[in-house]
Amino acid sequence: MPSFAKLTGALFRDKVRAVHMVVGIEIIGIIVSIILMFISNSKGSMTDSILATTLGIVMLAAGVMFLVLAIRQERVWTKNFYRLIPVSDAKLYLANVLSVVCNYIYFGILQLILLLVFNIGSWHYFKYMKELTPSLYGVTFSTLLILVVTTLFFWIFFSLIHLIVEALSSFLPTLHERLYRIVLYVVVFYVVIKVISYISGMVVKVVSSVFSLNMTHADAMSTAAVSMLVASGYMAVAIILLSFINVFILNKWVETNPQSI
Amino acid sequence: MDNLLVINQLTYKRNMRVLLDDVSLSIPAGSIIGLLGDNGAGKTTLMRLISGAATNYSGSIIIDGEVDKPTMKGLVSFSEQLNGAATDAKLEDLAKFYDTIYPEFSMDNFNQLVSNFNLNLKQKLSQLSKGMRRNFVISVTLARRVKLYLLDEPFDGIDSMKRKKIIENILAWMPDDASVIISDHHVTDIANLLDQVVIIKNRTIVNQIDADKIREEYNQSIEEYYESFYKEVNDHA
Amino acid sequence: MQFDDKVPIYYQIKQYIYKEIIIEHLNPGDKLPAVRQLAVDLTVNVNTIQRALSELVEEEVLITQRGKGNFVTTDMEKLVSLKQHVVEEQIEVMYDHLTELQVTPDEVLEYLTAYMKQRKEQDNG
Repeated sequence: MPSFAKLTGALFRDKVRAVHMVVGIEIIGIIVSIILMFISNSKGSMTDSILATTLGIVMLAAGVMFLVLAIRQERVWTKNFYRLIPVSDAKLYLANVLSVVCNYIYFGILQLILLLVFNIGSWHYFKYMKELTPSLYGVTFSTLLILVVTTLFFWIFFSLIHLIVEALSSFLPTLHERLYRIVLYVVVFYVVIKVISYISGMVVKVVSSVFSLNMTHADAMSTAAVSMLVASGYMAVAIILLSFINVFILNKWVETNPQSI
Repeated sequence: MDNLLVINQLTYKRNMRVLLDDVSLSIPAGSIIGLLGDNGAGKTTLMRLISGAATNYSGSIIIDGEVDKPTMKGLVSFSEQLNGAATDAKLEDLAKFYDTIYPEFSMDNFNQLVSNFNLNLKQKLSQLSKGMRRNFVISVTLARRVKLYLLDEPFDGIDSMKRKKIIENILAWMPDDASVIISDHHVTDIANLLDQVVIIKNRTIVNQIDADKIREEYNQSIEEYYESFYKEVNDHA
Repeated sequence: MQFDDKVPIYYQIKQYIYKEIIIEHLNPGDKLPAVRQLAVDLTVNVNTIQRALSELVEEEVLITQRGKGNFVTTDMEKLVSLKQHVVEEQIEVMYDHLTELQVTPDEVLEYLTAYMKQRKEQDNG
């Protein structure tokens, strides 16, 4: 049986081709738009408009990458290539999710490099770094954290929906499978959103009542940072909870697709 | 001979249909078994259950005395195990994946098999013709040194010269104590290979018999036996 | 090698090895290929080869040397009687078929002599 590290590594390399493809297309996109900018020769600072354009493309690529990795993550639950690996379902689940996260981090690092390389003209903005106050650092950190946790939460959430639909459809007749799968997706999505928002509403009520007692005099920045930290913690708990449910469904009811490809 | 695979009262339902109905079967170690049956009789389903790809069954499957699912997966090499592999992957990427994940995967054997089939490891999975893909699948499947090989219609869409090559490689590379279950509807291709024949019909196993017993006691070829059996049962039905 | 799928494969392999010995493709004292190699060459199962070989060993046509493999016997008497046995078996089949057609033994001899004469002319012409 493969170790967890080996399994995660193999699943990482299996998905890293998708990262390279997205980044490759992205680089072509950036170069083309910079060339277009030079041709159209618009007024204003060239370096600023390059910064704006690259930032825009990076954001778009980040969105695309997020979706591509979600799809690649979901393939693992229903394909022989992954499900026949001789490990427990919990181990496969963790390794798969971790490999997705690592790929996104790797993608993020590539984005930083791209931004730095294509925006050498804008490096002077770094001088403003030293003007950042400790409280701003705090906000930056907690913003990053909540971004990471939210991203992860969505991947886990997609898995939950996918796994529930897979499990249910194995008990339903194959007739009109496409149609009822779509209906199932809508219904399950709606129900799960309702449940989650109900629970989160309760939690937020409790948390905010606690904080309104103690934090009224704290300064706005750190309140924002702290509340984002709290939200991150809350989402981390949700991630762990949903993951337990996901592994359970995966193990109990989700089989691989019988069609050979 | 010890039994490598023991199946007891296996029943499997999916999508509100019974796909296998009360199957019991014992397969001895070190043997080659022909799993014969019409399309839709349940050959692929039975292999999916043995491989661990489908799990929602009642009854029991024991492989080499093991009932733990991950352990069992490590004992079986199924010819459908590459389903869902990324088609933009090069063959060498997939081989490396196997080498990392499966401790019993032999890169040496794999390289020899691949050169026997004249496959180019720099090619992507999506670039292979149907026949080349079959050969690649067989190479990966046989490069794992396991107890039980499940080959589901390995010659489908392969011309007869290449079929012979696949058969030679199966014979050359299967470990001594391993067993092979081959499903096929061209019985004649594999008739010479078989120790036993298992006939599956209407989602259950209707007969298991030694290949030489068919020839010695019934004076029939395996194909005749298999077909007459199907016909006979049809007539009674 | 082409097999008749109605006849047990191990039996056909025995016949094949008899023939190889009689036509001196395999000489007394020659080593046979490894079991696995024979299986691949003849595209049959290892167990089938094993069964054919062990029967040949029992008949003392082959001699097993521990750890070295199987060898054709060097006992010339054995080999002579092997050839006789195989030839007799062929004649037996022909004889049985002809008597089924109510051909008398004397006629069998006549037919055979006539056929051989005719065949000789054919092959020479």
